[in-house]
Amino acid sequence: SDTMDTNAALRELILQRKKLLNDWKSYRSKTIEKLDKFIIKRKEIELEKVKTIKEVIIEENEEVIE
Amino acid sequence: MSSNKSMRPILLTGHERPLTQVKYNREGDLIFSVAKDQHVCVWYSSNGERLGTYDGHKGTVWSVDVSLETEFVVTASADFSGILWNAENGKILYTWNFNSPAKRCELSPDNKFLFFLTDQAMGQVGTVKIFQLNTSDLSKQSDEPVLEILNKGDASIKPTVAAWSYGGKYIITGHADGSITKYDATTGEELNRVKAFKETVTDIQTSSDKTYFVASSKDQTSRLYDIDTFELLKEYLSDAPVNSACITPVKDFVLLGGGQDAKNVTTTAGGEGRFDCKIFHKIFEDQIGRIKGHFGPINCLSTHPDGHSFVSGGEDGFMRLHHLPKSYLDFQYEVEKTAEALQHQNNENPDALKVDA
Repeated sequence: SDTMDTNAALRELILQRKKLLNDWKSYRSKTIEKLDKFIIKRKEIELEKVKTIKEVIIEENEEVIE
Repeated sequence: MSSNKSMRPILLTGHERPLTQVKYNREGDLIFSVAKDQHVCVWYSSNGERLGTYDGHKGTVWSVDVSLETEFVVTASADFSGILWNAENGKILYTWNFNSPAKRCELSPDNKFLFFLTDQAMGQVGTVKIFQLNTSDLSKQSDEPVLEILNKGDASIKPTVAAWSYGGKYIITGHADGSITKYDATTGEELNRVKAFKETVTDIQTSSDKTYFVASSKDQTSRLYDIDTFELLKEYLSDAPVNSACITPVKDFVLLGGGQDAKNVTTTAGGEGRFDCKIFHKIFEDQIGRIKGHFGPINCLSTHPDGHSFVSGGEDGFMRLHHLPKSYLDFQYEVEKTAEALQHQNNENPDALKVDA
């Protein structure tokens, strides 16, 4: 903090870098959140496909019992 | 001088002509390389020893990619073909034949698809051809692409490079006029187009999670873009044409490689070719280091998936493998150190936050 008080230009640079670092971190956390949602959605779609196949098989079983 | 010693690169000699692309496998134990000498080589990344070659192409091999489990390798060549190889024994599993040189190939993130970028030459239109991979029998592939993305203009705007996005959702292409484009990888619809550079785009490489990418250009710059928004995130200024750029995992760095074209070196002030690899801070955009060694332009760069080494391929026919020293991995700006220290404090002592609140 001493150098920050004595050198205005350096202070400006440090604050600028702090801002860039924070901006990047918030950009990354938003992206990771978005990516997680995307992956979950994909998995749900795949699971739905599996469910549809199961339903068809159950109907066939009912016919055999009659 | 132990740090200097550990920084000493390993020279990978085996190619006889300029390198065109280098790539690590996902595990990072192997490096695949292609060159204008028609050979595909595979090397141990730990010591630079050559493990083998894949022979079969009859022209410059422009591009290479390797599957997630290193079961198969795919290459694109100026001999108008793309080849699928068995990674372990080097046998050709399948050959795709095109009507013009294949400039780039890449497997989709899930390895269910792959694309070949075929050149706008010999009266053909520059096209990204997406194929579905038959993974149950790799030797039986379809010649029919599931999707073709055609260049809509003349050769001055033809695609030069391409890459997959996260989830295989988009295809990003770089063009001869310096523009970059995003296409929907299932419909081929053009979603974004930006005139990013003044000259041709030379390389596109994505981040590990494939949500953003770095593109490089002959106009001596490199730029970082978000894939979803296509927003310009960062810019890196070099002093020579940039032929390749990549994002390092773990550290927030970007590597740039290039140099003056051989024909222009004599006209450059001082005769310097600027064939060094430049390390930029990804977030602050400053050049923080450079690594000399090649005596021709660097054509291609690739980083180890854990970020502890990188490899460059040069116009001089050599590959240089750099294992990065601890000083490189420890390097941090003061603001980064402070931010990290604060985070540690908050994580280790949750009560400290409560007091403040």
